[in-house]
Amino acid sequence: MEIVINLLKRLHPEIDAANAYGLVDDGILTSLDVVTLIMELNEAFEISIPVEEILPTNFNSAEAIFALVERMQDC
Amino acid sequence: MQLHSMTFLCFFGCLLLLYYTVPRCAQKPLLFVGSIVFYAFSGWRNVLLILSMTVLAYAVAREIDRVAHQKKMSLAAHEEWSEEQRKAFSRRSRAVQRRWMLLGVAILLLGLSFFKFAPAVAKAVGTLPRLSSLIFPMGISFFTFQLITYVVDVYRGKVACERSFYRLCLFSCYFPQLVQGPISRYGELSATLYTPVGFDAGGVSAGLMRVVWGYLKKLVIADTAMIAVGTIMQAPERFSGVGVLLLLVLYTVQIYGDFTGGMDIAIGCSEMLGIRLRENFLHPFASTTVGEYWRRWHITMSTFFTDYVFYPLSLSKTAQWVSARLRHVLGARWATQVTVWLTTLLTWLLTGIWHGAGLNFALWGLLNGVVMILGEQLARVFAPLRKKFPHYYEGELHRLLCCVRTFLIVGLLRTLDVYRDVPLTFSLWGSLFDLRQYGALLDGTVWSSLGLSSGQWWLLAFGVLLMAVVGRLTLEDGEVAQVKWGAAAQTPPRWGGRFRDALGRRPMLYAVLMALMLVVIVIFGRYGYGYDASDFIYNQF
Repeated sequence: MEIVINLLKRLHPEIDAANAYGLVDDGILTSLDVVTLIMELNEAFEISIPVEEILPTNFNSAEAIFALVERMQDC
Repeated sequence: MQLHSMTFLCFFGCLLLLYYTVPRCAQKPLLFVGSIVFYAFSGWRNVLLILSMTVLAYAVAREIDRVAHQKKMSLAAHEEWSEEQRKAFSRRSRAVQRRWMLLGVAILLLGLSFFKFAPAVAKAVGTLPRLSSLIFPMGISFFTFQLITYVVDVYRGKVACERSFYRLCLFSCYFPQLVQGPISRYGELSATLYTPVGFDAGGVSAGLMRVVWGYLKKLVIADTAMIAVGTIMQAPERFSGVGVLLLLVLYTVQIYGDFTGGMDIAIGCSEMLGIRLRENFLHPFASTTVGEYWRRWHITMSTFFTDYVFYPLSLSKTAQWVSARLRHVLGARWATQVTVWLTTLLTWLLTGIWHGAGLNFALWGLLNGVVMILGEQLARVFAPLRKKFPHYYEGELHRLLCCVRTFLIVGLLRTLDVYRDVPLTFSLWGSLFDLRQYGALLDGTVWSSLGLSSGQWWLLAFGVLLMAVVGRLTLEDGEVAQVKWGAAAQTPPRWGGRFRDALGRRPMLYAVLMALMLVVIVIFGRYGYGYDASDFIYNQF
């Protein structure tokens, strides 16, 4: 979880990454951010997040992103 | 058949009448026949083309679905398989599905590329004269993109495979979206496309209001601006400096009126038939950045390129390979960043090439990508200042300045589309800095040389104001959320918002507004004998 929060902080230092719950709905994460984040997550957790997982619900908060990572680790 | 032709008005009037008088079970077959008749006006060969492309998409999607079904059955039949064996089998099935998906997409793109680029190549090479005079099938980009989204969405498991060929044909041939989009997604359009509907006076009247408003934007505002744009295009060197600034503004007015007018007609007609199409514009000039602008302007194209080009490219093995190589040179963080920039530029290059085969279009695409990347990076650089001066950065003045900046940037880039000559465009951009010429704005010489009377200039100014006001009035709260994500997965908002509800409650006000708009179109519109109402700009795509 900490890795996810740090990655979000690096992309958007201005937000409270641990407690932000509308990263997509509030327009904080752009498509460029999402792709950068996925590439970093793939690298950090040795997973492969496919395109079909790029959904607002998977990227709205650090918790949702971490849940996605855990799901990908199980695949 | 043009959306602003008398033939279309007669066609749509008859279709609408029949649509609500035939038994409900006959509504959709009627719509399908109507769509084929509509497209047949552009040539029977085009009908064969769209049907054969639909056959291809249908067959490929069925094959992808068959492999998925087979996988499910095999996994159920072999419960004794270990977890590893099951995963390996699933991976193999996925690879087969992927090959089918790629084959379908490649053939569809090949068809589009042939019609889009073969004439230009043949003309440049000077051989195959028959090829160089090939007629571009109307709206081929839009239905090809729609079929690609369908095939890919079936592969991604986002939509269920359509088993009825007729229903898929109705999706690809549905006439309001054939001319210039919007590029519908199967998952969204199918929600209302196949459902029989009863006559809904509210929906029909709101749709009609939107259609008439679309005609007003196209025939009165866009086509008036077109006169001045045409004058500048005929002698661009004569209108350097201040002329470039005027072109930037006038062409933006023209393309906005033309394209959004066309969309209003398409979406309004569809609403009258009880079918919801996705919104393609959400108040684009309220954008504070170029990135936001592209989430508000031609949304269905932007989201198509984001979802079906940018994401797959950025997460591809090639991108991973590039990132791994760059890591040795730049370090992990910058390698990821640079790879994302490269895929962004590539996506924008492809967007530019889709707009046209010329160097100007490729450059237009690349520059949009560069501006977007720079915008995101500069926002990070200025983040500390935002914290230091929150009153200014969160205030209306800053927002207004950002909107003006975005308007000027996208308008300036768009002049590449008008001049269609890169060196000439650059030299004319340079002339913008010759401040001595701006006096012509005050002494009036430049205004009178653009082919518009003073009355037409006032009409244009009033039209722009009206478009801004109506754009604001018809913005719905739900649309804001849609803009932020890029609109990929949400329900399309309903055009009109509170304005629409207010009109629904006041039939007199509705009637007066309709009458006013019709009078304005009749008096000031460019149509009929003696005029040459221009084609919609996006017809050529």
